[in-house]
Amino acid sequence: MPDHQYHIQEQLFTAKTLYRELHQRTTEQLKSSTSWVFNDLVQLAQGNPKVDAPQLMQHINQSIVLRRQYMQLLQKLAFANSPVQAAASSVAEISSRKSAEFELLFKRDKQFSGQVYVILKIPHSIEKHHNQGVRVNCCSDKLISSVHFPPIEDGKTQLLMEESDQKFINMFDAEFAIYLS
Amino acid sequence: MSNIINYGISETLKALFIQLKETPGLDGNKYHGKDVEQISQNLVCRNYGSVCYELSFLCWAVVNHPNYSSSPLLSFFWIDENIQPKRFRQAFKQPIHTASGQVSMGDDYLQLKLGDIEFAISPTRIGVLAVMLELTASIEPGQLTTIEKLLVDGNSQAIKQVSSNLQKLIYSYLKEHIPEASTQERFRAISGWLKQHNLTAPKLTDQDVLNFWLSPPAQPSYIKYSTVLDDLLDAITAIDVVENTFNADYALSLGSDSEQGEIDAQWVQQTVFEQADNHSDLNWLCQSPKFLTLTQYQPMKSLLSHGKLARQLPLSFLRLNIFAGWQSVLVQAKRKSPLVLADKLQQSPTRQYQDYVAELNDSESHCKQVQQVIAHIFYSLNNPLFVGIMLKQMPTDLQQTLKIWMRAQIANTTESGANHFLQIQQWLSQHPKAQFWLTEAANLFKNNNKDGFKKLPSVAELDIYQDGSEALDQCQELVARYLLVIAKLNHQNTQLAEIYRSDLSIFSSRFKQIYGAPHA
Repeated sequence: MPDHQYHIQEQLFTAKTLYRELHQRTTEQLKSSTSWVFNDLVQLAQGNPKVDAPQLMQHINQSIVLRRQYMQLLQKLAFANSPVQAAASSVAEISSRKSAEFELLFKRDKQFSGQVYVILKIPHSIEKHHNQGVRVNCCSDKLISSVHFPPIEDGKTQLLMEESDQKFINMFDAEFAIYLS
Repeated sequence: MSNIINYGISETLKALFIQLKETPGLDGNKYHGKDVEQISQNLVCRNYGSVCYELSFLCWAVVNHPNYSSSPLLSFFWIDENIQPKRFRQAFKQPIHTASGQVSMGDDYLQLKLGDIEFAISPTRIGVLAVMLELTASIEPGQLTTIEKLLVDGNSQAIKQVSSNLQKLIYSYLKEHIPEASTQERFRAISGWLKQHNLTAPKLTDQDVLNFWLSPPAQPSYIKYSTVLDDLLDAITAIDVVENTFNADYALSLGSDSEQGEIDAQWVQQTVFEQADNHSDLNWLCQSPKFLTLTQYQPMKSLLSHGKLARQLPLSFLRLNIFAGWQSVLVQAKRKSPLVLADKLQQSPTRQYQDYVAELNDSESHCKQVQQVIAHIFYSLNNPLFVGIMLKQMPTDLQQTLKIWMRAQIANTTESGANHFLQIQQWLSQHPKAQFWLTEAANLFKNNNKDGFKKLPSVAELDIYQDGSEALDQCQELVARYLLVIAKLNHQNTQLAEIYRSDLSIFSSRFKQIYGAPHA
């Protein structure tokens, strides 16, 4: 049965050549396309600093399905959260966010205008907050932004940011829910 | 002509596999390179049916585990990371009894029983199964919830349903990311060319390979020397295997499911990856434990990829390791500018064949050194496996003496393994050369600061060192035999340099033909 024999040979060739190709990485490929696996989402939601957050956030914000997935993980895994604020006034910006577990506020830098100190207070922090810091995720329907704060000391940590930085703006935008990892 | 032609596998899938190896876990990378390799083999051989089936049973055990009632799969596999044998055993320490079935951890297997169906899962499989689940969740994160819903209080039918869903998911993913048309076309072209030139595996020569590259068939276009070598050898091996073992009396039986005329994917995987002359990627030797650095592993890579064919075609591999790199440089240069390209065309490679041979020699001695260190580790942990390693690495005369003595011991005594070890130690203490070898091994260990060798591992961690030793054996053997062939070629110490000069002019002029024209 020569056709069948040929078909088997072709399968063997295909398996071997695909395997080789799968594991070949040229330097271009290393630079250009990155991918994520589910575990990366979980690690990010848990505040693991080893994840390439900017890359992953880019992927997340390009896909509504991924965003929903990440949100679900945050809802399950977050240490604390502050929901979308009810519209108490017509002003969407707020100056601080407070919950039972944390407080997030900012102070303008006296010396350099345009810069702000964002302060995160966690009175009952857990061990990983001391070791690896805290990730603050800001989530709206259309966008998720994410910032990593340095390790907690004496119940607080802070980050210097530009007032014009969208990530800063989102943190104090009433239409964004906050999740802490 | 100047693009890197992507023959089949999508960039997404390649990047996915890289990320599977590098995604962070509780301690370093979450998954071991070896387990990711295993799954990649399953996929390219289309042999993922039984893995999916096994995974489905495992998921059932997890979903119905009393300690994991909320988001069980997420908690078990990602939060708690019960993906190593020890943790896996610990997680299932307590037997589970539900309305639909039972789960209990035996000595060697996790035993599942649902009605009439019994299934056993070895803890050693947990790594590979976890990778498969990670792949599934990465393709479609919603699958986790779907699986959980189906399996909670589920019966064996539910497990079959999950298995079928998983297979379908992977099937359509592969269809999207590995279109097969291109590999089929290449095989057709190559097998045609081989037939035309009346070439079979034993007859193939270095000149044939070079001829194919210098005048390839019209379709598909073969430009890179590395692809020519890889494809030719992969094709001829495939043809050879089937012709040698094909039994004309049972026309449909070889590698096939004779009832449906389909090809047995399990047979394909075994034939390509699991035989003695095994062609797996051993990059994991550079992971953790770090048996070799990438620099030490790199020169051996192509030899490992093609096994014994390398020593049948020694020149082809010299050419591959010197000129393929130059070709990559030219491909990149062409994208940049004609000036850069002209410049690179003038720059012949900095390394010659002798340099590559020297690199191989280096790699081989590193393998030997690491083997010695591994022997020290086994010796220090009173594990008799050190004898096997030592036998292969120590001087030949000592090997013989030890072998003869061991044979006599085994014939004369019925004592237990522990006593054997003590006796061997005693024998060793009487032979200064052996003592010297062991002392040397101890020193090499002390001076080895690579990951996995900074301190003695625990007995439970020894498996990977044994795997490493076997893989290093494979490397050593291939390299040694290849170097023998090269030494014969170069018996007057002049031939290699002469061949290089001649090859340099052949490759130079061909590269100028391919890349030198102003418009491709």
